[in-house]
Amino acid sequence: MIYNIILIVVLVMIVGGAVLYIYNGKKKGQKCIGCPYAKQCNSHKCSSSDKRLKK
Amino acid sequence: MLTKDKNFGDKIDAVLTNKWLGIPIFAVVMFLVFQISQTYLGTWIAEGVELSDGTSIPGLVPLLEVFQGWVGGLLENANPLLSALLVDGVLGGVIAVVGFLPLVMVMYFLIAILEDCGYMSRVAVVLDPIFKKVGLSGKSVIPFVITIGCAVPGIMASRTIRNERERRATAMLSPFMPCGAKIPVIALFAGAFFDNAGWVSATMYLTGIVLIFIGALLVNKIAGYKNRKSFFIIELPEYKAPSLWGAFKAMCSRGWAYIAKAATIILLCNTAVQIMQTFTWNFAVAENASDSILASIATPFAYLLVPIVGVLSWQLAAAAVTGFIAKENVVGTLAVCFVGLENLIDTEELALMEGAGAEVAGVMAITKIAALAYLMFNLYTPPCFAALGAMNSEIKDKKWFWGGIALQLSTGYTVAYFVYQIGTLITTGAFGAGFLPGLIAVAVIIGTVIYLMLNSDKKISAQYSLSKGAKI
Repeated sequence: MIYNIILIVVLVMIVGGAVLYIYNGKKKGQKCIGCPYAKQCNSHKCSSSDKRLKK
Repeated sequence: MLTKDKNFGDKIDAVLTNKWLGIPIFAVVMFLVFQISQTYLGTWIAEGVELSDGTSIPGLVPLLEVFQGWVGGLLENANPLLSALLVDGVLGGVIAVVGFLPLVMVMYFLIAILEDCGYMSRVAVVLDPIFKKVGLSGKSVIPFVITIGCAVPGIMASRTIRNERERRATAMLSPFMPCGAKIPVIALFAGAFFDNAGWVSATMYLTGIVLIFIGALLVNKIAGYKNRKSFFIIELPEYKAPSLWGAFKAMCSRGWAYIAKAATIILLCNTAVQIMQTFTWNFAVAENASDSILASIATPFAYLLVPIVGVLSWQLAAAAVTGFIAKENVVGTLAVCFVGLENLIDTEELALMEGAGAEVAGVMAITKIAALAYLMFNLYTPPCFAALGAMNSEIKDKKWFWGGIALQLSTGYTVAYFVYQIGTLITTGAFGAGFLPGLIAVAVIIGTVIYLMLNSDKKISAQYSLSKGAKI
């Protein structure tokens, strides 16, 4: 029984941690989690919704 | 300073960017990159090395397997379902993907060196005249080269192209260039089914370039191409000794990103796959995996894959579908669905009756030709959702965007179909399973393309006749 409880806690922590990481990444505006260029994309607003490009 | 005297860099440029030698040199360089990363150094780090004195240095994969076995041992007394979820689902899937990390990192290191020494800029110059011939801008080369690392920035790089049609064509064709996320998929099939992993990777990249050409020609025909000159101006950096520290930092940055993706998106997908293949729709434990939720969802797609792989395999279909979330998922899902294939990279262990990979081939129940066709299907069908989002942002037109997805789906399916059916005909003397339904599907695709091309010709003719009338 104790093994199962520990296992459930571990699973919840792993899955919860992954979800939280993705949530935080998306909140920061990352288009693709794990993309090495994600930070550059944010800082330069390289998404094509960039107003400079629309002009 | 402008001078008639040719310096050392000019002399090297005369060879590397030569009209005839440039492309063969590029092909050889890329072949060496794949050979080193996926057959030698990368595989040694992944699998370990046995020295001449008999001592062996363990690689990453054996260590990960020891860890997985240790966790499995700890959970002997736990609920088997929960234990399987952690060991086979979460750990198994992630380990299968992370096992390819050395291959990916070595390739990133070598590409960073090529970028730093100035060679990749020359590649753009070498490919520029050829791309112009098929109606793409010389600037299209840069997105294609960047896509080798990741499709998202590659597609985004197409915004530097001012001509709208060329920009859209570049954005929709860039994903044909296999990105870093597809390397584990290539390495998996190359290692498990083919003795020589190097030529498989090089062939996949060269096929990608050929598909870009064919795709560009089709886009021109369908969208209506008005010939005009475009100029590609690039300041070539001077040759220099590459910075190993810089390449190491670039490799670590991309390697960390790979791990972050494996520990988040891949992990969640594998967990979902494991749960879906454990339970039925009534939330009862599935006694047979083919009764599971996953099997019932994937089976309709499996019928579509029969003309490509020759068997009805819901596992292969599920892997292809999860691959649209992230391409590494193909490897992770296969490892979860075919339990026991976590050690996908160890080609020696998979040595078999007819070359490498018999064990994998036996478990997956597909032939080498089918494996090659399935690999091509995964590489040349639409990329991950993030890349599709970037494509949508750059194309900015729903008709072009959905047309691009249709082009990618059609191309991937058609290429895979021809590879499997023609390959099976050559090796066995008869067409493979699903020949006729596949032929009908491919005929519909080709018919639609021809119809669109003729329709475009009519529209252009109408426009020209109107403009002539206006002049009169």
